[in-house]
Amino acid sequence: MKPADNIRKLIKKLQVEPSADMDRKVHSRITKALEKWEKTKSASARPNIWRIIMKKPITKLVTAAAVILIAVLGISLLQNSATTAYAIEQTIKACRDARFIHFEYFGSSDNRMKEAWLEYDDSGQIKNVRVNFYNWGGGDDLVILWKRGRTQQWFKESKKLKLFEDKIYTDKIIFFVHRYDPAKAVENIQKMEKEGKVKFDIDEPTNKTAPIILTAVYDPNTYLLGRTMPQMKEIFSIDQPTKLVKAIEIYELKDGRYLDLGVWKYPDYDMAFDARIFSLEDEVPSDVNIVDMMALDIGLEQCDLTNEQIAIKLVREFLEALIVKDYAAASKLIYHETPKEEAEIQKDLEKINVLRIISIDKTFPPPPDKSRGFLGVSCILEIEKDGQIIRWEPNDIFVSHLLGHPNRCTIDSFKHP
Amino acid sequence: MLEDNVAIWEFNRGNREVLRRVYEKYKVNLMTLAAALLYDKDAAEDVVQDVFASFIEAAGKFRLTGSLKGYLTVCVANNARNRNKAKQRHDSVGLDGIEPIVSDSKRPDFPAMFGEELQRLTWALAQRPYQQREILILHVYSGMKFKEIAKLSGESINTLKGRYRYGLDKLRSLLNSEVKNETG
Repeated sequence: MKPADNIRKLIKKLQVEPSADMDRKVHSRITKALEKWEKTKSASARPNIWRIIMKKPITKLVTAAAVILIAVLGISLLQNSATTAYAIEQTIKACRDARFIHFEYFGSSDNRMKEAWLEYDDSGQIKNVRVNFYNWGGGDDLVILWKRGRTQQWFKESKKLKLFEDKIYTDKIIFFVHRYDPAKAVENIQKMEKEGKVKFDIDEPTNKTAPIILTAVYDPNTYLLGRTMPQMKEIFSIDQPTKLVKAIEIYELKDGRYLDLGVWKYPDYDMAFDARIFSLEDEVPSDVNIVDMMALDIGLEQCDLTNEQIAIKLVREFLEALIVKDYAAASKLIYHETPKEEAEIQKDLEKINVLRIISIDKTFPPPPDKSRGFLGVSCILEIEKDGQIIRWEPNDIFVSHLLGHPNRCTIDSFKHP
Repeated sequence: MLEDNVAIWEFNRGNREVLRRVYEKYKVNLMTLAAALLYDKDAAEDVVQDVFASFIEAAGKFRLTGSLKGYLTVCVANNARNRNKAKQRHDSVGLDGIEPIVSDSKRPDFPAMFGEELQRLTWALAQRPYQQREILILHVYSGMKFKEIAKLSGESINTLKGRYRYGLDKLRSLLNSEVKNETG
């Protein structure tokens, strides 16, 4: 007698391979679908960071000033460039051909560490980017995986995996690549120097075993994309024999002196990565909570409003919803990813009794350490607390663009008085 | 699991390149399922091609949730079931429903692809009515739960469980009788 278990095992062993003809037909159908899709795809899919930067009026002003300055300084500046161009060009040439770049960041005053992997395709376009953040605040290690415009963000401790496609975020990734791919970083310094945003100096020691030191000083608010930043300084250590960048130290100007923030180290160049480095398949636990950011229906559409206008509109609508005790509507305007989080926010908001808005008319840039909000909104409210009517000026209402929805904004969070 | 979730997400975003990965990953599984249900490799290839054709056309037009493998399995099972119904209608006109739905003598190429033991199994499966074959293959080979199959077929879980037990018994006696015939 054949036991049932044996029959079940036998059924599981069944395996029928499709014919080569069928494979060909299905792949041909997919190819046709891809071609059709490519035709309808926007031609402007690739972001251009420098175009974005150059469009800004301040950039135009600074560029004009730089052109005048160059004309006035004339010969002396040209002489300076002539002495420094040699090392810079050699470094660009030495680093440019690398298809695989791996580098690590070590924070100076804390245990923060970042590790990044970049891969270019055969045509020199960036194909894959991975950045691992260790000890990066809140105890939640983060992995960012970017593949041609699509991003996965895995928050290890909170077991959350966010998926999104976002042009602004892709611009930031491309900016990151331009900033820390050594060839592009050095080209960037040359470019920004021409635009008057950076001053650099090269120290080429006579001792050929000592590194070449390239020091670049960035004007305030030019170091990172869309961030309020003080004056920053980078010190590049360049290996004399190979002309490869080995390290970039980063400093910020604080109270008149440079504060050492950390260092990027480049241990190896163009060593092909294991393909699994650009897949989270084997790493993410099976119980991870996947958040499709594109499916979130929260916040407000910006439409044609300026950043300032949408920030004020959003906060005003939020506060008005609180006044009429429509907590469901109010919680829709605060950033959250799951129905559970929304319920918690709603429960929290029910404890606040806002009576009226006294004023709400000003926005302000977030402090440098605030990574999410792009604008803060100041307001004065009249609230009821412990049976008393008081004035309250919350100073931590920040508004952000929603990942995956570049034209939609939410309030970061709202704390109790 | 994650690979599928990312594939679903990319599919929902209209990235059709992901279809190649999905096809390569599941083609053998789906072909086996369709071939075991229909006992006909050509018809099985038509089923899997049809399912992928619909899947390609739908990229970006609907939102996919849950298991990708489960979704494709259900698509193949539905398509195979429709084909079987159409075939039954066709056969009943010509043959008055006297002949069994399938006959091993008609499809010499299909069981011939397997080793001896699996050949006997495919022969035995082919002797069972389509509905019994379906519950056995979907539950054992594709790993679908009775609840999921009930949703697919519109039948009660108890009916399906009963059919499964009966089908397994019949399959066992068919296989044993064949062993006896060969040895005795």
